[in-house]
Amino acid sequence: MAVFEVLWRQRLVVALILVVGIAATVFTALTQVPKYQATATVLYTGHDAGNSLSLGQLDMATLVTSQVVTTRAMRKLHVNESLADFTAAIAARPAYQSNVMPISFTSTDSELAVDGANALAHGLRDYFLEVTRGRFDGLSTYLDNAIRKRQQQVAELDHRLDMASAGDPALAGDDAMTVLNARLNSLLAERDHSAAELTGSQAQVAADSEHLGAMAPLARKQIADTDYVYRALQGQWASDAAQLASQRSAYTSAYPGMSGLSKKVAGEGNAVNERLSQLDETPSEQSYAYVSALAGRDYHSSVAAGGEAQVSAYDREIDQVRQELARLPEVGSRLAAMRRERDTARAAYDMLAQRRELLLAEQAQAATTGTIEVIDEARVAVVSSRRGVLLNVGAALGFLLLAITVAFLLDSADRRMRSMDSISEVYGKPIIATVKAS
Amino acid sequence: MMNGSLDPGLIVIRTTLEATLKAPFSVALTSTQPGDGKSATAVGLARCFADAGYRTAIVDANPMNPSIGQALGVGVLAAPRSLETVTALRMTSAAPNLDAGSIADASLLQATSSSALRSFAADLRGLYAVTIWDTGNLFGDALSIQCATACDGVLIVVRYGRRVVPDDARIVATLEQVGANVIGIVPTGYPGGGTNGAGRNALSGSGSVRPSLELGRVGKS
Repeated sequence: MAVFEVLWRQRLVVALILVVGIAATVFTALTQVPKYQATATVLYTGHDAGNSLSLGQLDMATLVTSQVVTTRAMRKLHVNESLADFTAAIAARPAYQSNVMPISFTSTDSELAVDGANALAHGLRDYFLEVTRGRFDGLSTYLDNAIRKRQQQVAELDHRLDMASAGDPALAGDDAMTVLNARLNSLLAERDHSAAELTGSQAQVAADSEHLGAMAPLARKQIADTDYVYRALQGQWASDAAQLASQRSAYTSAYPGMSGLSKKVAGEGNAVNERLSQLDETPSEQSYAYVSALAGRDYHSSVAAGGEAQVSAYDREIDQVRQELARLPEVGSRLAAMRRERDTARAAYDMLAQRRELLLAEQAQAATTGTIEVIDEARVAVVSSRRGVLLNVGAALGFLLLAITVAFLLDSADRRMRSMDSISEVYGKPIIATVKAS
Repeated sequence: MMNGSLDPGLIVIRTTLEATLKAPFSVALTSTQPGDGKSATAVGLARCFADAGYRTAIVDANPMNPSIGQALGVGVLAAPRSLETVTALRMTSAAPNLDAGSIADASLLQATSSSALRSFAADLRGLYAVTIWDTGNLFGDALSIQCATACDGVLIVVRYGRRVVPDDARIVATLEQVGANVIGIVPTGYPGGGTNGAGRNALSGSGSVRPSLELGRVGKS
């Protein structure tokens, strides 16, 4: 009763809102463009067919109003209206405990209503295929590309490792340190041996040089002995000197011809000395003994030079091995990093390969999950009068609710004495009686 | 009986007062706001008692807006010079068993004390079985509170549908603080009419008050 009292008190407001609302509804109903509705029907078949509230049913209603399906349908129909308006024109709801779902599309154009319903039904079917199977294709392509990239990476790393090993095999191996140390020790031993030989050769060269110096007088004598001029002068001088010595022993100096002979011997002695002086200027190489000694010294000098070269070569090689030993940690760590990188790439490759095998199994499983088929295409559109009536009735009810709400809001904000209870409550005393307005 | 039947609400009020107060008694009608319908209710209630055979007096005690004489159609009621004796109040006969008088005079009010007012009320109770006091707004002048305390009972009149004011919440407490006997609330102007919804006018029963009462005789009956 209190409700009606409130409505009665606010009757003018209620009446005003209802009159305006009904007038607006009638005006809208009379002026609105007729709308056509067409319906296509799809069937979901799969594991859970026949189950109410199956995922397939829920997915159908959701998918048909998804942005992908609606956008594709709009593009196909060449519709320029907003996505929200287009989606609002779609009605799709699977019947209870049924895998059949009607898809209705409402438009002011009857042909567009038919085309829209069919476009949505086919779009739903195609998109369902995409989301149930196409996703495997996308993932499979992705995995193939990833596997290919990993393969290339592993091959490249192997190649780099091979190149590094080929360029410096001693450093490439795991026992590089041992190999290099053994090689160093061997070189050091060989160098010591060569150095000892070099020392011997050098001593021999010194001895040869000394011998060559001692050979000089002998070489002079040998040159003189082999000079026929010298020998002739020497023989003449010796003969005359012997004759002179004989005369001197037998005769006095007054012996006739002795002074002449003496002068002759003196002259011949000078000639011999002069010849010797000439022979002193002759090279020692004119002496075969000297030449022989010189050849021996040269031989030993060449041997010593060869020994020096060998020792130097050993020294260079030893330095090289020592340098390799010094940079062995750096090269080793670089190679180790490359090996780790390659191992990681191989592990990733193995994982991707396993995922791809699993994907193939899932894809085979998904092929049996279900499909959506268009079992009844829309052919004609009907005027959506029921919808209009419902809208009008809804609008009327809405205005009625609005009127009631406004009435109660106004009444609650009204601080006037509007009921016996409120009056009694304000004064805290009972009401004896009421009298009519005077 | 002048015309028409009475508002059933007035009859209910009369019955309530008969049961609550023993005749002779006096009842003051007051309110918190002007225009709540005190005078109309007082006149209607006085007439109701008079019709029931009670010798009834109605006193206009609203100096801010004296209207009883006009409401009864007997012209402006003359105020007495003093309230020392009831003979000083010149009562006007407005109807059979119904006399009317006024103390709504500024000069009189200035000379009026509470004791004198109570004495005057007692004198009226000696002469009339029922005395109805039409006072002003309780918080508008001191006379209203004095009248309320001088009477045996107080009825608070409120106009149905008007806005609630803060004085509404404290009028009962104020009256009880000064010793007044608040009997109850009388809403006026209720759309449905009296208690039983008869819809009759409280004053005349026909919707118009002023021309309905005949001129009475002058002086006490």
